[in-house]
Amino acid sequence: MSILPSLRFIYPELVLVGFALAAMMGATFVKRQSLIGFGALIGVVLGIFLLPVSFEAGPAILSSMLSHDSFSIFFRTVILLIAGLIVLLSIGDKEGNREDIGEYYFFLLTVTVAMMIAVSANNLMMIYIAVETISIISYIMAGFLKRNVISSEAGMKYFLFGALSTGVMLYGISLLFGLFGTLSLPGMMQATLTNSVNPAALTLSVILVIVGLGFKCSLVPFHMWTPDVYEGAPTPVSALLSVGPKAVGFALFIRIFVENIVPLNFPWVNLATVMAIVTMTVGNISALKQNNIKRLLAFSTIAQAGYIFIGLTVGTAAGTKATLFYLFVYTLMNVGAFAAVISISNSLKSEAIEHYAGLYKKEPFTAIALAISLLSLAGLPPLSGFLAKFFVLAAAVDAKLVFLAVIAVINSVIALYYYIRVVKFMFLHQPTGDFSTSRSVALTIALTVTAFGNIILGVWPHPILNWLTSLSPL
Amino acid sequence: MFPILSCLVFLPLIGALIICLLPNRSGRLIKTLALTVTGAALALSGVLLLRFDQSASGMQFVEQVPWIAQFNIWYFLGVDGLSVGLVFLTALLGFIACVASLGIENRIKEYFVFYLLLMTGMTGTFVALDLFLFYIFWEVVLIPMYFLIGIWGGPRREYAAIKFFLYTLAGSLLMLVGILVVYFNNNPHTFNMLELAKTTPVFDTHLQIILFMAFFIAFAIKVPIFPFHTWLPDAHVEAPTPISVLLAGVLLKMGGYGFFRICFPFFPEAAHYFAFALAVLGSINIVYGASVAMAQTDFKKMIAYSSVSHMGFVMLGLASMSATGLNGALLEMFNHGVITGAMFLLVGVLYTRAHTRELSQFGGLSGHMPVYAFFLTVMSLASLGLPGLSGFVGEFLSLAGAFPVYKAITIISIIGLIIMVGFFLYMIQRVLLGPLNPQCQKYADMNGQEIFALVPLLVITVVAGFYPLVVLNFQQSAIHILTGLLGGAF
Repeated sequence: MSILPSLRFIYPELVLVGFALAAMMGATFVKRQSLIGFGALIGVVLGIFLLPVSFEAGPAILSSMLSHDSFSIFFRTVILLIAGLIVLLSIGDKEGNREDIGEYYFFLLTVTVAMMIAVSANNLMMIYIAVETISIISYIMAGFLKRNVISSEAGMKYFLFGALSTGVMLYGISLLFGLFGTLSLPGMMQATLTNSVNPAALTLSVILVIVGLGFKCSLVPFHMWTPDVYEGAPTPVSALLSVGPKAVGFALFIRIFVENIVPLNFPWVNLATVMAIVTMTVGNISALKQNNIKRLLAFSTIAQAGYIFIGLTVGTAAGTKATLFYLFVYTLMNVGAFAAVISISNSLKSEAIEHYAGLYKKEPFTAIALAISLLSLAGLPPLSGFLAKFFVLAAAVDAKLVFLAVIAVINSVIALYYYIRVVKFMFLHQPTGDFSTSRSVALTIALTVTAFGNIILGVWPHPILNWLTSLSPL
Repeated sequence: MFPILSCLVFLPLIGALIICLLPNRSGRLIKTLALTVTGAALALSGVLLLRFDQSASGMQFVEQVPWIAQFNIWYFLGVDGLSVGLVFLTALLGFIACVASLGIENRIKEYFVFYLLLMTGMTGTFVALDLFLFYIFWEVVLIPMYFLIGIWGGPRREYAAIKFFLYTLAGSLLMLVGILVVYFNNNPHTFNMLELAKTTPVFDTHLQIILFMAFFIAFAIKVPIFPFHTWLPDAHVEAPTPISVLLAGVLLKMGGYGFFRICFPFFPEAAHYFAFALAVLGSINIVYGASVAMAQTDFKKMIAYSSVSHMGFVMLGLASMSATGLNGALLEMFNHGVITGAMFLLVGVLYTRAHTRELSQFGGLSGHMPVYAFFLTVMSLASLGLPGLSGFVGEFLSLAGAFPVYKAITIISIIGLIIMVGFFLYMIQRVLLGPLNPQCQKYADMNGQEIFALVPLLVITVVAGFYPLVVLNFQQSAIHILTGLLGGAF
């Protein structure tokens, strides 16, 4: 298939590229900054409407570089949802950089395109290019507050860690190329059926790839950058980093390992079990001591990554489904929490948890929305976070990994302590100091969508479950 | 058919949602609405009792609708003799504690929203027949309870609230893993509690023992069984009076109910395996709870520890595995809910006047507050197990059921009973008898609202004491089935 007829399958991506360019140019002419944001939002919404058009694609398009199976459709939808929410958060953020607003939305929309390509990629070279694009844009966005030292430091730190880990991943990919003679994932599957591969070399190269993806998902021990970067980056960017690249990382884990390489005799389950346990435990225990809400959420996302990873560890269809459900719900919970943090920072000018005292009295809507997000992250029914955890645990128990489930629930008890601590300050304590309430429409929309999503999917998860069931190859 | 159970469960939730929409200032309206909703729930539960067929075995008022089909999860409700009494107890105490909550002046709207959410969770736990649904309701109780203790509680409320939350969550999450293991080890995979309680044991003995322990920890924390009881004194003492009533009256019963509904019928062989341990733990509860209560100078803490002691009788009756003991245990749960609910209300009456619960701050109230003295005396006598009042029947049946099996343990437990008599009488002496403490000079006797809340509890205590068959008739057939399941294992 030549390239031109394939283009219609990536209409959403093309539209986003167009809007990205328009945002950068438009910023020089348009004085009202929120207009640029709403322009970006229109681009994302248009992308969502165009997704169904690109659904009827074959398994291999654009010279077999991308595959548009049901799996990539799921993740492209999730990423567009993330992009939409992050645009809303960016519009509502008052602390952000006001000068380079055009560049900001340009980067935001381009990173969305890169993420959509990464989850559709069917070839390790394409995966690498997409991941590298995501990384480079993320470094810039993390350091986007250029007059702010902490933000610049965040960008620098993210860059140093990121460059190292993507480099290691590239090395792993080159080893895989040497072993299989191809970079296409289906091709590698084929090659394993006919040739025998040196198991030691395969293990080494797979571990190198895991380093790169583990960095994106902030799995322990590749998590060290997370708290500093989340704290320093503009909050909407922290929100993006906590869900976007993570979704991509997990998508690639599924694409590379669960779908393609796990059938090999690689001790995946043992390695993944250890990583899941260490990630949850380190994330939760480190979060206990945090006093900055963004650092707390950073460690919480590490712990959440550990729970999500359980679904991949078991490697069954049920596990993969649980992972996808968890990722969807996780997006709502985490973006919801960050949206509330932005709304509070706008009026409170502080990210210290003690300053959240009595927030319920001052800004009830935001406080309730944040509480719903946090309790959902803690996995309490009847919120959607509970169902997500339930499905992951069910997959683990079904695969006879009961001890992994037990460790996960012990971790959940630890996690409740730091989530409820924030709730305690907001609801149980008396307010201090003055406070100006001014929540923008964009943040109200984001908070409403995430909070109601958390409640509704907790009681009625059928839309997502049916969708996941219809994803045929899984 | 009219979905009476769904109405019972979700009426409070609807009430809570309506209150959410009301403005903050409409305190009177909110209180009226909450009273109406809990009153309606009480009326519904009365209808439930009247229409309940005592002779029928099996579930009644069943509602079954598929919920999450991928996991074979059903919205499945029903009551039988094990649960109908507890459903009524929940509705009754829910209404009475709501009357007692009318004095709340601080953050009225939030209080009643959480209060009604709590009602939904508690009622749902007793009527759910799908394990997943049961777990959801079980957990839904935690969040409102955390806020109710943490916002409206005493000086150490934050500590008590988080301790309660973490303790119960730790137990219930282990239960969640247990639920999943049950689900996947049963063919076909099911959460249906009736299927899982079939006469033929579904699981082999080894697995039963492990699963029994997973569920045991969750229920033992809730009951609470020594040594998992340390959250209870903190939570009971710090909670506002109406919430203490619900904690002691209903929440503790959720743990006991778990033994009746899940641990014993699902894992009968493990139940026999652990019976002796349960009996030992039960008698430790009785003696330890009573001894610690004896040493308390805080009125409320004393009642809290007396609950630990009373729940020991429930464990002892359960451990006997006999029809008599099981009947006694279930009856004791109902009676304890009524009596201890009343005791906490009585503590609250004094506390609203004195703003202290130190027993040494009272004295000679019998002449000064005769109505109060009457209620306190009758309820204390019921609580210590005076024949003719309801507390005696449950304790006697539990002991009578346990005696043929565990003679020594039963005798030790009776020693605990003597201690219990001791501290209740000692309390009456310190509060009611002797010369009038000058500080108590200005205390008024109980007002109409307080009397209104206590009269129904008093009537039930006396009626169920003289004619316990009123309650026992409801539970006989269900206990008969349960003994069949337990005996059928060997």
